Amino acid sequence: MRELSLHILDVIENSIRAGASIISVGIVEDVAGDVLEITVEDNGSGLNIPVEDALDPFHTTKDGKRIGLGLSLFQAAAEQAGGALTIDKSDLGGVAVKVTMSLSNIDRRPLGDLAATLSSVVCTNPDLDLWCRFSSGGPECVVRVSDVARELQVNERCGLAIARRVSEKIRNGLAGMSGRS
Amino acid sequence: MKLAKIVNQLKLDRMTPELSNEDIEVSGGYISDLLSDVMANAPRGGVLVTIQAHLNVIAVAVHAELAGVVFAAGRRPEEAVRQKAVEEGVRLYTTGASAFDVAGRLYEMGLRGSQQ
Amino acid sequence: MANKIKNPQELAALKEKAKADLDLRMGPKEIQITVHMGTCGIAAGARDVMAALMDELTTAGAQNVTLHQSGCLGLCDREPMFTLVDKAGQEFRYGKLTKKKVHRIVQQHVVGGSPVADDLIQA
Repeated sequence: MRELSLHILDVIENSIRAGASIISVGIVEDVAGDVLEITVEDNGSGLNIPVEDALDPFHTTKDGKRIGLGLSLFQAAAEQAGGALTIDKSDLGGVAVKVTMSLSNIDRRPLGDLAATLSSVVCTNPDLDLWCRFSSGGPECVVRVSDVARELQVNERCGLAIARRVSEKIRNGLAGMSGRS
Repeated sequence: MKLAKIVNQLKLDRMTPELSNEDIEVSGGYISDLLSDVMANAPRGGVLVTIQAHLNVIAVAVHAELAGVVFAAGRRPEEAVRQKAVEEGVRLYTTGASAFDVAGRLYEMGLRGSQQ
Repeated sequence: MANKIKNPQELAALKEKAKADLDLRMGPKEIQITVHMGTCGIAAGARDVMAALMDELTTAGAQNVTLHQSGCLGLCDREPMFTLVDKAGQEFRYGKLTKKKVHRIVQQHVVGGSPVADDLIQA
């Protein structure tokens, strides 16, 4: 994927397929320590295969398709940028995918258009509460879809309005980050 | 154009001699190191020129139904990756030439990229 | 848009804008569009197709559409693609989508009611 946000989208798709109603996306950068950390965790049904299988590009859990490449590609992107991908149980109850990279690595892909990526998820998944957390040394910026929806009048709580508001807040939250490009 | 003709003319090293049948038609060529891009855009039945030698290359080659993969600039996959390629029927080749030069030679021979 | 509302006029304008927004994900609608977002779809540009759809549907003022997303259909060489189900329940599968094609499909099919034959995936 040419942008990290597309890898994030791919992991989110896995969470949605695992029946998650809450998905939390975290972007934390530590400029002094030269680390970009991305986490995607959910309250879905969890990984029902061994972690090695989930990271095996020749393994898949979906019907009719032999190869599930998403996580393998994300892992390779992390490793090429001096980092790693790990899969754990999430405190939310489902899976936590954590990726670290060296912020300054020349092969690190840009974060890309995370706002467009996450708002497209919001627009099409009415029952999903997406949480986005950003921090770049300073205080964490948190955007929760359920909070954004509550800020709108009841009759204004439509998918696109929420998606648009979420998109603006994410853009603001990311404004100070160096990992964007 | 037959795969065998390409292998012979470019003097590619065969990394998967177990897969001896090269009498197959090559539909076109693609050059990229970004595997999601290969997945999305490489022509079915084509050859991929790349410097990536990761296991994921084999998976993508299966997915895109490639006729073969040419590792340029002397890149070589690990033995485990090579084994997997044999298992999956993906023909691997290597050459010291740069990806640019390999693509240039293939183009000269009449091979083209995917039609848009 | 500004983060903070500075006066009642701004608030009113915001409300107007929000009201004008389409309900693209809730409630019974007539046309269903599902963008396929498997790994291969995302690699081929499914997110950009989704963003283009959101923009085009807003611009066209199409209030009768619900957007969905789903996984891979196994037609990876036709990605990015979406499936449109019209109000009669008929299924149309569009492939190799670009921004330009999305514009045309929204104008001609969603608004005008006639499928764009050129971009349909033949079974």
